[in-house]
Amino acid sequence: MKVAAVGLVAVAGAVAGLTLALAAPWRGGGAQGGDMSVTQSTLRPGSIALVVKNGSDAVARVAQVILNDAFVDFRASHLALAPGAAETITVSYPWIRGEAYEIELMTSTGRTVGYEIDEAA
Amino acid sequence: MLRRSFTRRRALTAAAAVVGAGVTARLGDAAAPPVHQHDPLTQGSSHSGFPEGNATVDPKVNGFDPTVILRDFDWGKTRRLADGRTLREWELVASDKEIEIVPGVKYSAWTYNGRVPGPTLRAREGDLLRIHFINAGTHPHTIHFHGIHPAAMDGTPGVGEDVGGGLIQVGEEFTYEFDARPFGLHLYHCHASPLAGHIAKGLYGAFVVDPIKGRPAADELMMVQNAFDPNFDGDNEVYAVNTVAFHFMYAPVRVKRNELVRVYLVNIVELDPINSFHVHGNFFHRFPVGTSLTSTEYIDTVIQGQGQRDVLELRFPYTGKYMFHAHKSEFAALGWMGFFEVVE
Repeated sequence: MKVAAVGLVAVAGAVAGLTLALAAPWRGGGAQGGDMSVTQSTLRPGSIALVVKNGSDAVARVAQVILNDAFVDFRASHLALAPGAAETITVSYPWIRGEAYEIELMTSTGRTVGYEIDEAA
Repeated sequence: MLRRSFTRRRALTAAAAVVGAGVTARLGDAAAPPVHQHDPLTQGSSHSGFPEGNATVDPKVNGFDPTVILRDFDWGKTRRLADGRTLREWELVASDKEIEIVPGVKYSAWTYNGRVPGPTLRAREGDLLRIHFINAGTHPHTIHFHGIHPAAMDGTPGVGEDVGGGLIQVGEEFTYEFDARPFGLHLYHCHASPLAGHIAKGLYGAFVVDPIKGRPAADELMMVQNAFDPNFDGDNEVYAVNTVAFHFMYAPVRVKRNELVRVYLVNIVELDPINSFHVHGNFFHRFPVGTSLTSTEYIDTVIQGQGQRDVLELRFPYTGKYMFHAHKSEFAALGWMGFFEVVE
């Protein structure tokens, strides 16, 4: 693919805000402080690399990745992100040119960070 | 999950700080944050369907094992009454507990006796049942049993408070007492408000009443289909049988070739209106709610609404591994899949 030929062409998505828990008595315990966000994505054949930044004041741990409503395999150098740290999460996935992808990074507390690729290329 | 794609996409779009396609960047751009590269890479997760798969939750973490729950039927403490009937007694304690629902992800659950689902209570039709309930949690709770019983024993807030029942406050106790009827596969769950929240947090279990003459001998398996919404967005993200996503991919349900297998299938998933169970390489007889000994269908997929139960019976004529999963594929890919392993 051309993407592979040129190396690192990132297909931008949308940096999504975190879904915050609504106030309700049975909620709580699942959120961690601060914000995490995906700042960049890079598609290579068979994989999607996401740069995730921990903008919170606490260590965050990416425990799972959901892509288009399915848990998917992923790899990273470090799963725990210190405050202010960034990390590349590489998802193994046979993405298809022109299709859209919704990705959620799920932390160890169950909180999710959303990211959307509108048109893979 | 039926609303997932729409709501999630809409939410993502609404929250977007940078809008979509056409924007390109290169790793290493000045604007990009530093990327830490270390080798070897750490494997973050793996699930069956993926060749590296060998990841499940250590049962020691939760203090309960989905595989053990399959065949863990609690007949209670028994004693023969003067009239010849059998009295069965249990103690159920509601408490808060953090559990791991998919590798690496913790969830603040509410439990009966420290497990999700709660103990599988079992009796024979006509037995007298007493369930001593202690609310050691942090919110008012109840136990509402399906079945036929007096109103005061129904575990419904606003009904039965005059005899100490109804909504059981934190630190309080109540003893439910009723006859075991009708025979079948029933539910119990908290009925405190908000109802969906109290159920989704884990306050539920199965309740089996055997017919007086019993059912044919079989390898019996309790499968409680459940789900979790760990980010509290109103959609479930994690699906399972007996709580831990993908557990039976890595710990297949071992059964014997040609032996009758009886699955007690319960759907207690909140937030999604339907669920389903499909088995590969086989068909099963369906006994809705288990209240009749005559099968109504011979099928390979059963659809269940919220709170619905079915007794399923099947035999595997061949050895090997056979997948079972929700045929709502999204649920399967989010954890609700597993294997039977048929052996001689």
